[in-house]
Amino acid sequence: MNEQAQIHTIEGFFAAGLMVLTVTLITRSSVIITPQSEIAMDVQLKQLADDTLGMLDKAPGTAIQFNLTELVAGWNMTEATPQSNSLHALDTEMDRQLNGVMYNIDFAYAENGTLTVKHAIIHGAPVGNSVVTTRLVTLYNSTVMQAGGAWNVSSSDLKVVEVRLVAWRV
Amino acid sequence: MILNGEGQISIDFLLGISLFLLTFGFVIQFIPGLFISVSGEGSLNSVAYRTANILAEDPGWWENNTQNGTDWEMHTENISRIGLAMDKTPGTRQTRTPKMLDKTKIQQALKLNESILTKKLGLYDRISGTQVDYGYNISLLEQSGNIIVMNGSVVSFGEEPPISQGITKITRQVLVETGNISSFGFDELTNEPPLAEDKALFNISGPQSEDVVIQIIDFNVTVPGAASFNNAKLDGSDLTTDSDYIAYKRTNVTDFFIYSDPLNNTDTLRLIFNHTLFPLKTTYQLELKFTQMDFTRTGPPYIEYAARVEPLYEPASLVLKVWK
Repeated sequence: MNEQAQIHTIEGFFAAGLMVLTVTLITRSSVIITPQSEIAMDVQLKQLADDTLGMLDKAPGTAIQFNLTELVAGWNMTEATPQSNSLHALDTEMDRQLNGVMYNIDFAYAENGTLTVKHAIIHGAPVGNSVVTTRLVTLYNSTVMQAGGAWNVSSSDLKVVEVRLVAWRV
Repeated sequence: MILNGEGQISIDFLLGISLFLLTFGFVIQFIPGLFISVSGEGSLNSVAYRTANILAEDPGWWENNTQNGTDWEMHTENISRIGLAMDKTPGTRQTRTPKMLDKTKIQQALKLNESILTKKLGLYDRISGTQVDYGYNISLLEQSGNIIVMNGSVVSFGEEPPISQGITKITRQVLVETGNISSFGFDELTNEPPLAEDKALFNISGPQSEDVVIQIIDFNVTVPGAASFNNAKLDGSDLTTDSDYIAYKRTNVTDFFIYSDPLNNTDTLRLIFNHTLFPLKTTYQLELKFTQMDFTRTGPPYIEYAARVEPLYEPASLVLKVWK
C-alpha cells in the first residue's frame, strides 16, 4: 500500500493547465487572425485609386477630354463644402472611373511660403480603412488661362499642386 | 531484506506524465494549424497582383545570346516575360508609359499558345517537381463592360472561369491603344476654292489596314444652333452611315454619342470610317459636307490624314481572374 501523496498527478495537471492557457492566449490575440482577403481588398482599392489618378494624368486628349492638369487648372479656388463641390468637371470624370467608390479630393500647394491644403471635392467622411493616393501636377500661366481657372500663377512662374485622393468603400 | 510492495511504477507518476504528454501532443498539433488555416485560402492573391501588375505596367522582355529588349512581340521565340505596356525605347528596361497598353503587344499575345502564355506569365506552381497550371482568364473590358474587340477578335486570354470554385480577381484601370486617330482643328481643314460650299477635303492614302478615325474640334459656326455635319463622300460617291462610317459627337458636358444636330463651337466630331473603303495603293479623296460653317483655308494641297495620325487610346479595365 502506497501511502505517498499524489504530487506527480498535481504536477501533471499544473503543466497541462499552463499549456492550455498559453495556447488560449495566442489564439485570442487578434494580430495573427487578420484574414488575407481583407488585405487584398485594401490593395485593390489602393490600386484602383492609383490607376485612376495616373490614367487621368497621362491620358491624351483623344482618350479623355481633359487630363488631370487641365482639370486642376480649371479650379475656381473656392473651397468645397459637403453640400457643394467646387470642381464639377473633375468630379464627373472621377465618378466615371471610380465606379461605386466614395472619395474626397484635396489640393495641397505652396502659397506665400506655406503649405495650403484645400478641399476640392467632398463626398463624406472617410471610414477606417480608406486609402490615400497622390499625384503632382504642374500649372503654368498658359494652362490656367486656357482652362479658365482662378489660380494666381504669373507668366514667369509655375505652381506645383499635389492632388490628394482619399477613397473608401461603403 | 527490505520488503518492496510497489508495482513497477507509481500510479501517481504514470497519471501525471500521461496527462502532460497528452496536453503537449495536443498543443504541438494545434499550433501549426492555427497559422495555416488563415492564409491558405487567399494564396492566389499575390499571383493575381503580380500578373496584373506586370501586364499593365511592364513592357515585357526578350533575350537571346547576343541581343535583348522590351519588343518581345517581334521575337516570340525568345520571350522572357510578357508585358503589355507601350515602350518607345525597346533597348532600355523601363517604359515611360506604364498603364498604356500597346496594340501590337496585345495582338501578338493573343496569337501565343496557351502553354507559352502560362509559362511566361508565371501562372503555375511547382509541387514536388511537377508543374501544376493555374486556371486563368485575362480580359480587357470597355467602360460599358463589354470585352474590347480588336481587328475582329475579342481581347480575352485563357478559359471561362468555373462557377463553383473560389476565384481570385483583380481589376486594373488602363488606357488601351485600339487604333489610330487623326485630330484636326476646324481652321486647319481645307476647302475647294472659292470657299463656296461648306465642305472639307482630305487626302487619305491607301491601303489602310485599320479604321480611319478623324476627329475635328474648335468649329467656326456662323449661325449658332443651325450648324451641322451633313454627310461624307469618298471620291465623289456618297457614303452611308453605319455600314461605311459612324459619326459621334461630344459636347462639353457629355461623352461621345451618335451624332445629332446641331454642331456648336465647343463640340468634338469623331468620324470612324471602315478600313475596307481604302483597299488600294492609291490616294483617296474624302469630302465632309457641313452647313453654316466658316471655312478659312482652301486647297490644293488638301490636308493629309496621315499628317496627324496618332495612336487612339481608350480607357478600359484589365480584369484578371485566377483559380486553382
